[in-house]
Amino acid sequence: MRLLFDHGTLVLAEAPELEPGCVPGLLWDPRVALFRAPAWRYSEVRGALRHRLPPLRDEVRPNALAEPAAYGELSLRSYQRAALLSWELSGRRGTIVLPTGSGKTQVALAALRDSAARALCLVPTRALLQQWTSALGGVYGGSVGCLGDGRRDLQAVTVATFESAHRLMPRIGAQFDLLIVDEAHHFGSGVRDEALEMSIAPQRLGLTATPPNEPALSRLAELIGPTVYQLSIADLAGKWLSDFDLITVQLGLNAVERARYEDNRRVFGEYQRRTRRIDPDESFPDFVRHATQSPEGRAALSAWRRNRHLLHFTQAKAQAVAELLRRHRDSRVLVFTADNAAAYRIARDHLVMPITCEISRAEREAALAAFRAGTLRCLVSARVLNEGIDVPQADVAIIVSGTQGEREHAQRVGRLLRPAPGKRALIYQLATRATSEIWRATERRHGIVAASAARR
Amino acid sequence: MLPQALLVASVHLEGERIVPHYLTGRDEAWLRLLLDEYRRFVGRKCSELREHLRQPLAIRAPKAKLRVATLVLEGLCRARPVAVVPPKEARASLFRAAAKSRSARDAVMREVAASFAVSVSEIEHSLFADLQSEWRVSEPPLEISPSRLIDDANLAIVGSLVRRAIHVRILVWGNARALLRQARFVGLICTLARAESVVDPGGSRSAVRSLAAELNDSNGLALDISGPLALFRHTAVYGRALASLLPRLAYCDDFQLTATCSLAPRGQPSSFVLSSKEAIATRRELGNDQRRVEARLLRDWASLAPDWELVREPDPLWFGDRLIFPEFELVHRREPSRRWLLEIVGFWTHDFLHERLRALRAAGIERLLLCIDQNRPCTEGEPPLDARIIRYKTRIDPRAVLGIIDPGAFPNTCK
Repeated sequence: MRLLFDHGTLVLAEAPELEPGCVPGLLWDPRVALFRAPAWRYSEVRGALRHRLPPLRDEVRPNALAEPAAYGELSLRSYQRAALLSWELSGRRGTIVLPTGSGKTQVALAALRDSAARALCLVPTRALLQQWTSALGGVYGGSVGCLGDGRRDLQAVTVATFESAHRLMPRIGAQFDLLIVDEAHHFGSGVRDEALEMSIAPQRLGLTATPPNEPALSRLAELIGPTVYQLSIADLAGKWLSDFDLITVQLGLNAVERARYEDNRRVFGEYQRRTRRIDPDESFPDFVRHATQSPEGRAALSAWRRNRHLLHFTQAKAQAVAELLRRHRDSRVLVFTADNAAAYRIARDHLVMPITCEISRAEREAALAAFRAGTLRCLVSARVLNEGIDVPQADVAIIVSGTQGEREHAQRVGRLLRPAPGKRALIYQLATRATSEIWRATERRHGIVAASAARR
Repeated sequence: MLPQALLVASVHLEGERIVPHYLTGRDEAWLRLLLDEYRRFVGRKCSELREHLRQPLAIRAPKAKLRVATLVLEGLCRARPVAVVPPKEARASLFRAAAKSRSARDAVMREVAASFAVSVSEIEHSLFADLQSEWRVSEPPLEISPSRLIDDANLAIVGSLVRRAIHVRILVWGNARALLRQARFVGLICTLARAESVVDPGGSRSAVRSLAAELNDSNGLALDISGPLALFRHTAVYGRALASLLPRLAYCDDFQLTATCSLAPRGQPSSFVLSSKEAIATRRELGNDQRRVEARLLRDWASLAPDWELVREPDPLWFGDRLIFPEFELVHRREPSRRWLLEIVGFWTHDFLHERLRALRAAGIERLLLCIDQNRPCTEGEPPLDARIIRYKTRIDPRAVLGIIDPGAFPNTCK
């Protein structure tokens, strides 16, 4: 029997008669008259076929990459060592949940060093691609490969964006023994899962600060491994993470904005009440799906979107941003907006550097370096700064608005928590009174502050 | 590819069938107006044009169609950034100066503008001039007409649907080779059957039979195309590869494509049907899907075997229920009755080769060479010994081919 890799799947050639279900994931593919299994079940398939006759010849990797080079010294904090040990004891499969700023990358580097395996590190953004490549460059003795942001260089240790990995995994899925998945909460519920399914890597490490809810969590456990170690902000704040104050600033709408808001709310509310009468338990995604199928529903959704857009950057929020930037002109400030348009408006009005997906990698890196050095004192961003970017110098955040809910909020707050001597971070979240923003802000605040209070 | 929301607005569902809202000749009037508006905004910001187009046109245009046409038009007319000061330099200077200074915004602007020897408004303009929303509208090319926009907009809708496809079935009458070749080239799995032997989604064969009768052609082929992972899950990962088949459809005499696709990421799959009866202009230039090994053989052959013409892509051969698509036909220039076919096989097994040779013999097809890739066996041991099998690794040796079809041409050639 020969086991081959075929475009993100495993193919069993010269196979004897096999009873159904005897090999996990193996199915008969009538299209090519061969047995086929998903690549991510490689270890199980190999294990199940090991003692069968005729003997199995593993040819999933006819042209393997070179062995990885050696790694340099790494120092780990006590909880990082504990996290790594938990992962190793779990058979090198699992997800480590640590708050933003606690050094998840350091744990990953130690895992790479200890496993000495050919490894692919998956990251969500181009900014993180660069950050990971630099971090690896500091400890890894060989050349670090890079897939994404216009580069396609495959090495024994390679960093890839999620998008590039998804596109290229049918070709490179057999090359790596270890997958490191940064910001692993992006997986488990979408098409991206296929990138993990098309890889044979038996060792897998997920990193996240904000694990997803069910059913995505179970799917993540299947594709990467279960949560093997978890700490919250409360566990680390004060010693390993900076202490912080979270202030919700309640603002109003001007007369024109209020009238528009109420108009839109009425259109949406009327439609929602009608549909709720038919199906009171309908989930929001189902509601949206049904709404897109009728003109009234589409109008309601459109009104709902207009309101969200209106609340992203109201006149009062613009004034509050101006006042807060004036008040903290000597601090290092991060401003988070819901969209790029608001980020550019703040950038123009207050002459602060925007960090968006439209700004080139080189310019973003230069801006982040200038921020760390103090030649820039404020950065404004919609999403790029949300995840992974390392700016320990930041001590004030202004969260103008968001679109991604609680997880995004936790990530943004986490940007401020990287510790520095004498630092106490200050986080302002702006919310508009008498709108849905208020209860969302309260919920988010409760989620983060309650954990810290419980610790004290 | 159209954004999901726009695609959803560009189709409707009839049961489980997706019906696209194609643009037609009746849309020409407002399309002409759209082109005029576009030309009126040449040199102004793209964002201004987009804002302007949110207002209704003088002639009523269906909203979704207008958005599709606008998107297509933007793709056809390359907008460009225009700035007095390179935006990156403007940003670096201005934001650093603002961080350093305690002066008001206007004073910082004046200071930085002076350092570049430009006006304050010029530096303000340059600041984000490289962002797409700030790009300037450029003149649409002369060949863009309302009918071209109709063609391209319809193709965008069709392409976006197929890009979300999980599986595609294509019934083809005539010239299926380009489709097969492309499917193989992009790593898709393609199974073949006679068109009349397949059943339609409703479980009957009548629809296909009536189509064949209408075409007065019973030699149709049914191509079922999907990717390896499709065995395990509904996946749109092959959407891009499946969509690459579309430009090849135009080379078929008649076709009917049925794509199974989901309009939402985890939505229920529905089917979308496109046939050659609908006037969707799928014709585009063929991409370079010629495998390297074929290109090399073509090149080597010309200098080595002047007596033999190497014809690409001859007609396919039926034998029983099977079909062979030989890559080449070798025709002797002075004696055209001397003809051989050459098929290049990728992955192969013993069983496959034995079966193929047996079937060829049974069908009386003697003059067919099989070139098999020595790097792609899916079986133990050596391939069967047969006079018609040529092994290759990176290139097919033309001498080995000539050694079989014309032994006299190279007396010293070994097989």
